[in-house]
Amino acid sequence: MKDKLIPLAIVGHFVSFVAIVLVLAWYWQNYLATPKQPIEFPHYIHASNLNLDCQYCHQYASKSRYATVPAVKVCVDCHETTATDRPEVQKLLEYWKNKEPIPWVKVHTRFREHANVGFRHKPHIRAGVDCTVCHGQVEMMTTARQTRTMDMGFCVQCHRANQAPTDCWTCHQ
Amino acid sequence: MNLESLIAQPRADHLVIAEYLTVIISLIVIPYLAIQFGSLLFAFTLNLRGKANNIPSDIKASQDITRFFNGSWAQIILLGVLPLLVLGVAYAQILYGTEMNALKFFINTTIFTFLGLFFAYLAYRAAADIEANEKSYRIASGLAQTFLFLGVWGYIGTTSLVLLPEKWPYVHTVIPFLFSATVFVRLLFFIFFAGALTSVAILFFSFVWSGGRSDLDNDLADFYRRFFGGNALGLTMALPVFVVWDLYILPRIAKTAAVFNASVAFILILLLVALFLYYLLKNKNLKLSGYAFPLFIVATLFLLLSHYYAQATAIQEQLKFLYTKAQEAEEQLKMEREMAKGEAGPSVAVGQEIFQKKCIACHQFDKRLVGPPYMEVLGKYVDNPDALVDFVMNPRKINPDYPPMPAQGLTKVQTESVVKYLLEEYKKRSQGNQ
Repeated sequence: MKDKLIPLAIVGHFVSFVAIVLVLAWYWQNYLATPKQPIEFPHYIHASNLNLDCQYCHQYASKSRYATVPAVKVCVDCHETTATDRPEVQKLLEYWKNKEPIPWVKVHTRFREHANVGFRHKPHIRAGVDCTVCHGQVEMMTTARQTRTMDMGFCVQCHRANQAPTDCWTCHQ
Repeated sequence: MNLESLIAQPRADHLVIAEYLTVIISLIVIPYLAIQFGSLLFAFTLNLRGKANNIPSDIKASQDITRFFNGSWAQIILLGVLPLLVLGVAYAQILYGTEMNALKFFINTTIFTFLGLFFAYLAYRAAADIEANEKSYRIASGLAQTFLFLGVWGYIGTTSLVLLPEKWPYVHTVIPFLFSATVFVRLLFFIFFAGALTSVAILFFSFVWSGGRSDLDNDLADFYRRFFGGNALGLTMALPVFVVWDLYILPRIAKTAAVFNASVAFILILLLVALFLYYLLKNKNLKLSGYAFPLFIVATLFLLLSHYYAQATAIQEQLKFLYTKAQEAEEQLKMEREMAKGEAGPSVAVGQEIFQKKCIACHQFDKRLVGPPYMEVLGKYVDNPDALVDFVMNPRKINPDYPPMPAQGLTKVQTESVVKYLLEEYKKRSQGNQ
């Protein structure tokens, strides 16, 4: 009996760890992985190849709390005539034709409600913080992915390095 | 001396080589350092135990293990020191242009590792007569383990830091990061991994390699089977715990399906290793270590592959950025050569090339695209090309019917070339229309 039980226990031990890895993979796939967007928007073509400034599309970054995703009109301004044969642009024009907003999926989901963090884009952009500091090299991405932990250590580290205020009320309001 | 000034911007083919080198070299250096560290640790503890409890077989085993795995300068340089330096250069290429000075970190790691291997050599010399040189053996072995530990700690710290681009601007030294949870887990992982790999390697080289060692007497052979068989099995069983722990705390930016797949493959191969080790212990069939050791090496390959995938995912934008920069540098060089062939200064041929690459995306001469048709707007610049050069270099919104034109990042000469081409083409076409 013991002769059979020990090898079975060894198999069970390793298989249970495989199961834990699969659960972690499932959790990552469903909650942490970069979300699938309705349009496979290539940031690298716009921000790198065409050299568009981030604020060309995310117009309110220097003016308000939110950088905002551009209105469909901003895309159509150029794409009414440009690259209209591409399938992803055709999807865009379909939204435009139907007068529907594009249901983009939120990528930077780190700030949880209970953290009570009131992040504002405006003061950061006006202080000259480059977008890549918090968003990574988006100009090299297709659809955006979160490349920073956006945890408190990340924020405080940069505030300290740039002599920005570090009292609690600055961020937790 | 500023080390960064020694690193040139990588070309595209250099980057490919550097990426592969990080996997291939870690496949050499990690098992080598693990076996060096593991064998020193086992020999040292057996020596202490043998002396304390007066067990001659322990002391004999400690002498045998030290003499078997250490003691060749060629091995130290080729498998330990050189690969680490090459890794430093490979990482310096991959992280070119970032604030992280990988080469400096790797040079420090190499110095500690070299000191570790140097003292391991002294331990090997002292172990020739371990009874007489007991004190010098223990000092050399203790120092060797300490320095190897520091070297591996630096290696793990640096390679873990590569996975966190958000830390790069703030890291002037790797030391604070060495005390992070990620590095702590990976260091523990390494110690258990080193113990397991060394035990399996001792069984393999004692009983299978070249038909088994003829200089091992029966007592020592039996001791090796029990001691290293048991250790190998126990430590191998512990490794999946670290895989899961490591995956759990792996930064989100580095996670990808391939990392999980390679980790599953690692655990499943370890399962086979554990079963072989169990039957080796139970049936006293020492030839089974002939399967356990190669399988352990294959498992190591999957472990390092999972780390490679994590790294490639974490720094994918940095790599793409470097590939783009390399391509741009090559094009720039080509353009400069073309300009050098003709007259110095703006040239219509270069202007046409830039037009085909950039302007044509939004402009045509006779049709409205994103921007206005050239035939409508270029007329006012015919006698004032400098104004057009100024506009292209610093575009402003002029006509509210069109979206603003973005700056194209061209140099003065490139802009002058494109303006020269546009105005010549404009003149040709307006004459044709008349």
